[in-house]
Amino acid sequence: MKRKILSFLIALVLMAGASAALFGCGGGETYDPDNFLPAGTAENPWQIVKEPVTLDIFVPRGGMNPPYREMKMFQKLSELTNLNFNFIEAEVSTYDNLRSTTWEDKNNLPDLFLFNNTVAEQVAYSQFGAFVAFNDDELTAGGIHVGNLIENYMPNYRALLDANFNIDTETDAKKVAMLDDGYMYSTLSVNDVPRDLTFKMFINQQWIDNINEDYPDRDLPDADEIATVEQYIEVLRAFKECDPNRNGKNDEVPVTAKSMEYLSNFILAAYGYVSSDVEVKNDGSGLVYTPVTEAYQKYLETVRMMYQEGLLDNQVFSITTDSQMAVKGYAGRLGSFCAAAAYITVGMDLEDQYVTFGPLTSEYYTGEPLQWGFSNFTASGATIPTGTPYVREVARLLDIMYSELGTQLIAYGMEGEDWTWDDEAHTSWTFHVPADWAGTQEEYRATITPNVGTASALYWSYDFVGKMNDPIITDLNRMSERYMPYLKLPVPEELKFANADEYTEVSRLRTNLDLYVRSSVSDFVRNADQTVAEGWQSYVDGMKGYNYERLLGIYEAAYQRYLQGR
Amino acid sequence: MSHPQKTDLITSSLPQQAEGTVKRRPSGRRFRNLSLYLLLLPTVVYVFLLHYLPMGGLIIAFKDYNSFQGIFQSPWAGMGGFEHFYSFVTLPNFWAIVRNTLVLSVASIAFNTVLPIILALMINEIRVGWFKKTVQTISYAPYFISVVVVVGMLFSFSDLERGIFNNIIAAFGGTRSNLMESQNLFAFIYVASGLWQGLGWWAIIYVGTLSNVDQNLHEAAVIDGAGRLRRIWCINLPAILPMAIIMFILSIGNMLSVGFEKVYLMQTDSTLAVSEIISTYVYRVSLGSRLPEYSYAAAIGLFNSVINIILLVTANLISRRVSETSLW
Repeated sequence: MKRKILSFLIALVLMAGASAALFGCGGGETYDPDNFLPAGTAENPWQIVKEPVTLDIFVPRGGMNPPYREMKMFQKLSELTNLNFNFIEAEVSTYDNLRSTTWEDKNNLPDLFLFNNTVAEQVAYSQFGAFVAFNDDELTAGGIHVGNLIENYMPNYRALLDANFNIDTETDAKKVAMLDDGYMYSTLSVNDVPRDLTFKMFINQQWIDNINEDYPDRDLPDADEIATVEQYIEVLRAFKECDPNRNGKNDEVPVTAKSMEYLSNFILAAYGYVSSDVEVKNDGSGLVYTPVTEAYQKYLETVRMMYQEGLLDNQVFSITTDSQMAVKGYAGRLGSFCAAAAYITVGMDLEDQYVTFGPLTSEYYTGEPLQWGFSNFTASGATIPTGTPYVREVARLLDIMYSELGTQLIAYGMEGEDWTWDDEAHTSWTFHVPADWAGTQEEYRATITPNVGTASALYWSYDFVGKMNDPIITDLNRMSERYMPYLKLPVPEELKFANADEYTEVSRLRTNLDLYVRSSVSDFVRNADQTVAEGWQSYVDGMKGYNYERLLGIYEAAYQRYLQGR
Repeated sequence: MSHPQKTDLITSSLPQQAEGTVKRRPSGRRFRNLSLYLLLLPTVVYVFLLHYLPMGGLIIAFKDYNSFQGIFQSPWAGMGGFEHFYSFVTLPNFWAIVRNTLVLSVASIAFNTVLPIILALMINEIRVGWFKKTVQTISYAPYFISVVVVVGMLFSFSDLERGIFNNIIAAFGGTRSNLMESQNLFAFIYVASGLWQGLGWWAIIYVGTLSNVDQNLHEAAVIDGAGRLRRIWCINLPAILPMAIIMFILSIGNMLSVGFEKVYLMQTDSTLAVSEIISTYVYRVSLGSRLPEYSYAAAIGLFNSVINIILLVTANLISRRVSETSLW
């Protein structure tokens, strides 16, 4: 009997313990407004609070990164500001899920959602007052009136916003950040580094030289001189026929891509559009869904011809990873490809044979050359959920991340520790990877900043990043700059849909259409028996079934609002 | 959905005993087995908390869920809550998706039910002990390779230039082709690679049943002049038939839930027309989307489950009428 009572008691204790763990109550802190330092102290202008305070920050975590608390950047920020950070880290694969559950638990919202914020979420949740507006003059938090955060506590960010971040672009930073209600619920993610603003297309200049030497009558243009898609195809034909890698075998692959998307970006661009999606007409008069345009038909005909002639890698539809592409690249068989950098695809030994080229035009499209560009600004930087008393603290912390120190920290770490200026005039700097570090340079950088793999940064500034003293990076920067005058954003980044339902509808329509277009492109290109023209009408009818007209309609309404707001 | 079924299977042999104890229990000693019930409690709590309670969340299939308002505060979807179901069944490629799902699952079920039985009967006929063990080990070893690796192997083996499959085809005078891009071969590759992986493993359960067949039956049959084939047909096959039927019914219950991972990994743009199935579509609109639509995905998932349950119950019903073997 005693034993029974004992086991019963043990069971009770266990259950009580479990329920305590489940419904455990955390102690609430009381907010002390006087602990905040609006402008730091005399010795340390970066300091934000007198006594340490812990902020909960929701962040995405890339596969290469260690936990955030171990990253040097945040250790440094913690040291400078006297703030402590408690990170809620979401792996890429579970990010959306974790973010949803975080939002659901209203009593334990973080003080800051850093990186990866979406406009769709801001539109959807701002109607419930879920976010702190950075530019709200009447803002109160923690029981006191704090007013406009940008005006009062973010001098760096404010100056940069006013100057449009000193970037030569038509995109208006403020309008990107602002929703239709006039409030900014997110700070901007800013990027003006050319190599990260577009896809780059490489071609083997060595092969061109070899052919011009072996077959003088071919008289191929240099990579720099290739201006039209017709010229480009002539070069590819020569790659196919003239054994430019001089190994006596016909094993050259003139052009390949990781998926058709990458290829379309520059061949389609030669026909006047940069994306397989809704896009602004080149005269700015309105929008068009490019997969139903005549230009798209021309593009498909060209790609099909390239595929059928063997100029386009016949495995292109089975290639899904960089490493699959790299098999041919390392073997010295690739003539042309699209990649973030040549060495990823062909290795360090062959890297210097490849140069960027384009953008191209064509006989069909003779206007200004176009290149798909990514926006300099996105409203994805940082959002503050309503309820936290620490809005001024968070605002000052964010402001540091937009300062010169912040842009350096998130890029390559601390001056003097992780990198040093090469000269007095600060024209270049060198990154120091410890001699005993076994991994790659990027793997080391991942121990400093979250800006590896996930590309998370509030301000990825060319003014600093562009001065890195590294031959390959310098080359890449130079080769990327050629595209900058031609960048075209498919739709302006300022464009916002009217409400959350429209975002949902657009997302669903696009999922279905995207699937259909990808599948159809593959069918057109691979089918030797049917020309594009023959299958075109049924393809367009199919697209109507997926209601591209509705998608275009939603965009068109938003675009008209955008035009009026300019 | 499959968990309750598994529990049913395990407990299906117990009811008679249980009834017996109930009858014998003297009244007034109700708490006699209290500690046993306590032992059972964690499982009941577990199943309730992690399997039944979350089913309440299915309500989002009828709502326009957003995480800020949460599961219960989110507004109801249009059309009396059935908007998401309506959107799904009126998709232009709805029938294509359902057809693709059915093709893959029917082919899988057919081959995965019949071939392991044949393999098991063959293994059972092997008389040399070490050879039998070796065959069994080799045949079930691939089961432990992860799906990602298997699909990686498929892509490598089907490589246009260096893949072993293409090398074999070329050696016999055929033309090389992108096997993984072929719409005609997709289902074949899916089923065949699944069999390669699982055949030996699925056969284990039958081999086990066969080893329990009463040897007297075989001896009697031999005396009656039955040959090997006759004995397989009249003794071994009936012995494993009930098990085969139960396995078959269970797989019917998962008819529309064809393995997501493998199909998703095997997809290329070229095969989308035959490889887009319900689960990959759910992934695309939910987790794979830039703007996850949890409600829509939940609605499709629920649609899927309801059909699965209907199929399961029907198959069970038919089986009970026809063969007197059933899950319940």
